[in-house]
Amino acid sequence: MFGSTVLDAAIGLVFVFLLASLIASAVREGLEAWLKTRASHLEAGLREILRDREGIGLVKQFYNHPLINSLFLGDYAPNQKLQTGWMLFTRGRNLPSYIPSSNFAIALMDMAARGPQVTDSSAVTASVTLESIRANVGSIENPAVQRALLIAIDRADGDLAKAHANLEAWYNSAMDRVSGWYKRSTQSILLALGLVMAVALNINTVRIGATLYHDQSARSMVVESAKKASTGVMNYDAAMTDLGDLSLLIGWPNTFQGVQYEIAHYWVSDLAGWILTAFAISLGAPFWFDLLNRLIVIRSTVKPHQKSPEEPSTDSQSSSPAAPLPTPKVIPAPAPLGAPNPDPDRVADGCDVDMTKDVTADGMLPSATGGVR
Amino acid sequence: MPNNPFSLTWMPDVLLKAGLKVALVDGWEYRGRAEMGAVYGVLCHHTAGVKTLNMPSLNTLIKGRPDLAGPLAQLGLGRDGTYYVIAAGRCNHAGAGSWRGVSEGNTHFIGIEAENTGLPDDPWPESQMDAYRFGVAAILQYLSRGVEWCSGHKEYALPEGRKDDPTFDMAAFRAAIASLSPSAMPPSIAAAEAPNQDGTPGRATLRRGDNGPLVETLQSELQITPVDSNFGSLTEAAVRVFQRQKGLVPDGIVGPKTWQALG
Repeated sequence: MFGSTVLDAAIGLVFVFLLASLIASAVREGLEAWLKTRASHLEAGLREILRDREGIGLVKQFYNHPLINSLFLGDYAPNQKLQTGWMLFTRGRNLPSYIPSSNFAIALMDMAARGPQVTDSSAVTASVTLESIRANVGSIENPAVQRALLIAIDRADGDLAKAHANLEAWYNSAMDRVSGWYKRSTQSILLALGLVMAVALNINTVRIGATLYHDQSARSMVVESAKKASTGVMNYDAAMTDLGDLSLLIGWPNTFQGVQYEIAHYWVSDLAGWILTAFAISLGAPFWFDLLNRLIVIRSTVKPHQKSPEEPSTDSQSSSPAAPLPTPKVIPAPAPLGAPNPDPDRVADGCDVDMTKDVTADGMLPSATGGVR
Repeated sequence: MPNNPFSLTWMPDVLLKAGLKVALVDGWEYRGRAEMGAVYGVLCHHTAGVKTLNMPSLNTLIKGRPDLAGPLAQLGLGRDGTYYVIAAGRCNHAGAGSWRGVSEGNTHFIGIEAENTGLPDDPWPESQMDAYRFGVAAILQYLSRGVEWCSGHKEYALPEGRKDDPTFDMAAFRAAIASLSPSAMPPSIAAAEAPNQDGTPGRATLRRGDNGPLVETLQSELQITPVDSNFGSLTEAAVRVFQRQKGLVPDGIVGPKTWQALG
């Protein structure tokens, strides 16, 4: 049963991580809805790609272009704090979180052909052709972007659609970087959230692992919930409920003295366990969901061994002979080291006992209190 | 006897706070097969004992039988709704089975053995069922567990159909527990009769352990010998007999109803 024990304990641990990271991800999404950091990442990305780090030249003109301006409310005002580079909590304000690559390409070509200022009506009537872009590209007062535009035109072989595709590709490669920034900032936020959750809810990887490894019934219970979760839809509410059901594995004792005691006696190992949990949570819910499904598939292919015959049935010693044998579904744990109750009678059952022999007279009952108000 | 009490020593306080009658069996703190594991919930049983008396199975629950060592449950529930606290450690009550994935019932569940023959001719008294519901609710609340962690032995036991206790419908029982409001208390006995018309206070409620002239009055009314004005176990047993004759809850407590029946 060794392999199955380890596998089940791992499934339990992954399940706990999945629930915790689901909750952390939900909190992160809530933060994002409020801060809109995606939009500020996009703004910073555009400043990089358009070589306008202050956001007062081409970037401003770009955001105010009708094709882009229609994606958000109001006008573009440069975010002064964006240069700091630390963008965990930079607010995106009214700016869009996404700009389609085709909007980007069309807007840029239009700005090159007809002049970057929308209010400037001198070149408005000119049609957008490769020739007009090449002739007017000087109106964009930004040599780097001019160069990029000219390259895109040069590689288009006279085809406007191809130039458009070239610009889209340029934009998309820059956006890959932007989503990389966002992922990294999400991971740092999840790490911080994970640490807070690990301490607040006492989700201790080391202790959960030990409990799951040693306690057969805790293990089977968690695996059962994990199997259910791996097939169903998981959301914040379901995760909270499931995590609440795991109070045997996580959480603080009910009393404050208990917390003090626990911290005083275990804080070093607790610290390690919490930090491990925080890192696990920072990997994100999708990772754990995927891993959980894989483990459960493995588990279904590894069948636990049948109970070996030399193992004495723990039921037969203590129950009356009439008691039927347990079904194979109940496999008595082989009492691992450190198990709390290695006694043979832990599955003994008092209900077959004849209660009618040693009758307790009313006069022999102990004295009661309570019930009178 | 171990040097330290087992871990379920919180049970009497929790039950008393819930407004229930609680009787401690001598040595209960140290009684148990071993220490409990993590406590997940409550497993409900009936004793299948004899049909008369308040808790005739108590001795067996404490000591067990030659083929099975006691204690056989942490709590016994008398017909009058009194909880007898038998053990604070692990007990042999669950046997083989599974409830919500927990397969070691003895290690993880508190067993409550309610006194009932388990036969159709022994209806469950309302006072006992009230105490059963409120007691389970209080324990689950203490454990911060939902009502789904209250299981019947017949639901837990495997193979299916191995057990038939308790005889009442567990789903309805859980629903009734879930619908209890957190502040609700079981019906209680008033501490004294209502004042008489002339304003003098009514007779005080008497129970075991009380003494004084009022107990002497009670003992002579019930023709208990000797009349020693001490409310002891024999007086209590006699009160229970009287209450059974009069169709009252046979709890051995002389409250307003019993005083009225005595005249």
